[in-house]
Amino acid sequence: MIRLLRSSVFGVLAAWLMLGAVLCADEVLRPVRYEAKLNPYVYKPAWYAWTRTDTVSNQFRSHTVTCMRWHATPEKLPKTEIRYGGQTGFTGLSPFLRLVVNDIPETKILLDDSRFTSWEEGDRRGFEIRMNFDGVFLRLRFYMRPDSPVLWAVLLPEPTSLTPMRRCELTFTALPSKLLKDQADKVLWSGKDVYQRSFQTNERRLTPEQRSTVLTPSETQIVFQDDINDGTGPDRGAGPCLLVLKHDGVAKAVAEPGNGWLSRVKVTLAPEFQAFHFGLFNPPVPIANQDFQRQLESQQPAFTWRGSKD
Amino acid sequence: MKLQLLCAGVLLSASSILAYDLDTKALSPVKHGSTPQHQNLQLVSGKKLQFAIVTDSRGEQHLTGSKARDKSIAPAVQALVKAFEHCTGQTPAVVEAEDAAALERHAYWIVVGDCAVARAQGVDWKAIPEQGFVIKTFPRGVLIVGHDTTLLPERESLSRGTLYGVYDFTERFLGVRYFYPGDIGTHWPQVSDFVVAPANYSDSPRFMNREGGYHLWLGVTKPEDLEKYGTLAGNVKKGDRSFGDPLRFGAKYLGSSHNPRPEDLARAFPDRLKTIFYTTADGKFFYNPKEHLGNLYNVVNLEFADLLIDVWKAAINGDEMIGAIPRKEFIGLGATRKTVTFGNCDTYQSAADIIGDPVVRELNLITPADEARPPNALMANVYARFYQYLCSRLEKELPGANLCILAYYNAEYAPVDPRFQKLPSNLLVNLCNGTVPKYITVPEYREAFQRQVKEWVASTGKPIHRLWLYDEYRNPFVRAVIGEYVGEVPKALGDDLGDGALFFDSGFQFPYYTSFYAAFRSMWNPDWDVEAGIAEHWPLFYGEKAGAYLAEFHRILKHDLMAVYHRLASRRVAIPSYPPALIDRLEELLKLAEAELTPDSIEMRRFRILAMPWADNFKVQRTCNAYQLPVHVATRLLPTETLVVDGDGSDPCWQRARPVRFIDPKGSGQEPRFPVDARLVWDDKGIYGLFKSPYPPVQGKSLWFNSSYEVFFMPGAKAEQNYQFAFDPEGNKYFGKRRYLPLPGPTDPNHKVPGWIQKNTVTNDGWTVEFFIPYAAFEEETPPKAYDTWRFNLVSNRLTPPAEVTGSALTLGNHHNIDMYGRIVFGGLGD
Repeated sequence: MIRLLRSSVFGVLAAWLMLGAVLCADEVLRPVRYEAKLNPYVYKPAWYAWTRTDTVSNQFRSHTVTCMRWHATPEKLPKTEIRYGGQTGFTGLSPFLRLVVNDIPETKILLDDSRFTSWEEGDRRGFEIRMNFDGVFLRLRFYMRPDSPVLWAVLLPEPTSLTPMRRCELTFTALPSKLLKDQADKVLWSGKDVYQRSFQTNERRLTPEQRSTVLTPSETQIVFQDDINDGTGPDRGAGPCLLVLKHDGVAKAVAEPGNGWLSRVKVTLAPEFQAFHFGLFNPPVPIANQDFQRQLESQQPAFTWRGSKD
Repeated sequence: MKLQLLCAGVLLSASSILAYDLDTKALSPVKHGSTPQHQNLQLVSGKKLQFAIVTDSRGEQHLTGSKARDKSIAPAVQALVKAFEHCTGQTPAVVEAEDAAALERHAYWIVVGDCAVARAQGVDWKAIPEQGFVIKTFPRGVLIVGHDTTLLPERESLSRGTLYGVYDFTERFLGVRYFYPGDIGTHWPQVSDFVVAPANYSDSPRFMNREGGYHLWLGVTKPEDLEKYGTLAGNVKKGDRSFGDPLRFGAKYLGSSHNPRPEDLARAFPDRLKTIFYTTADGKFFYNPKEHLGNLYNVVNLEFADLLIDVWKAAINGDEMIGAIPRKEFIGLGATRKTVTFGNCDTYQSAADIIGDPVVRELNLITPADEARPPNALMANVYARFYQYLCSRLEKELPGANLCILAYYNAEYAPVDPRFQKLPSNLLVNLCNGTVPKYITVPEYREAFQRQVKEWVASTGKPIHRLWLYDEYRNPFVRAVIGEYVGEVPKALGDDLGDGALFFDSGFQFPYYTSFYAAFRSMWNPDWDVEAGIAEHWPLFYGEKAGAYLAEFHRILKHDLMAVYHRLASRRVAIPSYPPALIDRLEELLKLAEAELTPDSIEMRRFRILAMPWADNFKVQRTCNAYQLPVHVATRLLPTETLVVDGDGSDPCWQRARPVRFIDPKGSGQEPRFPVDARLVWDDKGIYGLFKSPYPPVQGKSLWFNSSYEVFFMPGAKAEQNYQFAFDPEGNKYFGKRRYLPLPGPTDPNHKVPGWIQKNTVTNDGWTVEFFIPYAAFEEETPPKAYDTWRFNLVSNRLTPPAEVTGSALTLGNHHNIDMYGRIVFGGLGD
């Protein structure tokens, strides 16, 4: 159902490895590219009324967001989903972003091709989705900067909304590192001996035993990782993924590690929020938890949110 | 096995030696008597006829004018002549039995019907069972004699045994096969030598009534059918029912249907409408002066029974007038000295319309035990009480007459309540169970049907007199083979089914001729091997190679696809989505068969008839397989907007509303020729609709015969009830609902919708209707919130010629096919 748009694995790997070198060497960064496709090839196309992929890429990384509208069936209602590519991390196996506005989930709203537009400002390029939650109008923008491999995003309320926003909650979901199966090839959905999902923020480590923890406003980098499948070897998973949060407009952000196949960070926005910024990053190649931390430290600017005028 | 080979001493052409098997499984089994002792009879030698047809035409001379069509012997002779003409190229002589000199000019005789020759051989037509025949050889020839009441100056019923005997002879001895009307619908083997060995057998039908005349007529009357099929078949005369003879149509007993007709009774007794037609406790009067449908007889009021007795007496006595109208204006009254018939109107009476009846309550005619039975059994005691009274009056007023009742709809089930369970001995039952023959081989349906029949047998003390069998009209894959299941019905019932009739309510259609053929063959003898009978004809009709492909085509229809259909019997799915691979294979087989046929040959013409509808049938299946439930959007009215339901649709909100997409609900895939613009808007009070059709609607009749719309909603995530809103340009309405979950219930046709608003604007340019459905119409259902999804179906019944029915869902001919309903999403503010 989801495909990463990749020029070549080797090319991405090379760029990733060169990220730091390029940034340090003050080389000329190539521009961000954006491409949209309506009804591209997806797995089981018969399941969907329509699908759309929006791909934003630079020389370091490529990100594809897929939006699909599932057909109604006798058993199921039609629904909208927004998914991100990847076998692990922010994965295509489960919607990476859930948005609930005034108790209306994004799966129920009416989305179609006409609500997507390209976007660019300066050297940033990407796309926007105009969403309507029964009169609450929001724009969800995804974009990249030439100097960062992160998929940046911002949620913006529209002043023309017909209904006041009382509540807005986002849930970021990731599958850290690996999805395990038993000897009978059945998926293991949870288990203390199986998954040790933890979070490493820029301030502290949140262990699996901590069911949910409120993040502080200074915790802007939240790494989803697994302590067993820590990416240190071929059978130890792909390693961590990163969520960058800017807490302006955030009423509460809660991290939920645990022992399940998915980990979540739930963000509740203040009704009066002006803009909510975040970023997502799946490393393109397996990387150990510690190595990723070193990468974040050594290339901090690339993984830090920056305003357009900064 | 009575396979007759040629005598060694006779010189014959080997390529046209006619070998026959009297016990061929392709034909009905017959009863053999003791074999006569004599030489074989060389009736045809070297293409030369060695015989004459012998008959006594005096016996039927009294049948003149319109009565001439009842003859048996005369048409039997013609049929025999025709058969030999086709098979040998020679026309046999026909000789009167009394003409001794003429008789002696021929070596052999084929004696047709009662005559001195037959009687001299000891064959007495009156001793043959009714509608039966005897075929017996003797040294000089063959006797074909049947029970022919046409020989009587006065007869109680029509029996044409000789006619059937001749057709049997041509089939069994000559190898003729009669499948459908026209030049090419019969297989005529080419015969140059024909030897008949000594034989003696008889046959008679299992069912005295094999009523196919009307249904055959249906298939040879419409101009489009005659053009498509009649041209290919050759020499098909419009409205011609004569092919019923080789199919052995016949009738001993009076037919039974919804009689008397309500419109006739209403005209005859205009001052007694309240006696005839039912009024509910709350005053709803079920009399529809405009149409046949929509009426309910007042079976609670025994005065209506008295009126019926008067009508029947007047009819039987030959009174000129019955009530206010001439007796001749009563259509299909169904009244003779032996039988009178009564059938409830073709309208379903809902529980709500009878439960509160004062007589029903006072006499406790509907008990909790009745409510626990199937819905159609609810009024069993009500009808039983009526029949008990009617039969007692009949016994006094018309002694010797039976009452044949139509066990249909609310009268379908026998009473089991001890007060009413024993029905009078002068009552006969014509049972209409909608599940046969299509589900007769599905065990749970078969058993339920058997139980139902046993209840009637226990109640009346006698077998069921007649059965009304139903086709699956909407599904051509079933239509093509359903007649082959007719024979299973009497096998399932045994002695619980009398000899009255299997009335197969299925119109003849040329491409599905094998089904029609099989049905009537089975009515004659249910033990006929239907598989063998159909299998035999493929190579005969289409040649060996093409026939083999068509045999497989038929096998897939009869076995593989019917298995799919039967697996869905519990949900009564009329048109399943069949496996695409099987549809592809059917299509391939037709192509393979066609490739083996010579253009312009008789076989190719037959093939064209058979193959004609299948491209469209396959297309519907492919449309079904590709079908995705459509999702429509109801636009939300903004708080700043107003909507006035005034019939002109000028409110700005309608511009924002999205039109509903219409399709052909039967699956042709073709775009509607006459588009309708239909939009829905909603707010927290209810649902608004604006429908515009750019053509003048049909008006002046009742709802179902005017142009109309039908809107269906199944609210909520569980979709437990289906609500139907039907309306026409004159404000006629029908509101119904039916529960499906948690337990299915019957349809309530009297659903109340307080607050319904409908405004029409009708001009020469079209019909615009605005309507409003308050949420109160959906009873305890929660009004929708933004982005809630309901099931939805919208139907436009354009009756202005050319008529076109379009809809928003692929419901395949059944607007209540809820599995195929689309979805309506209640859009949010600003969507």
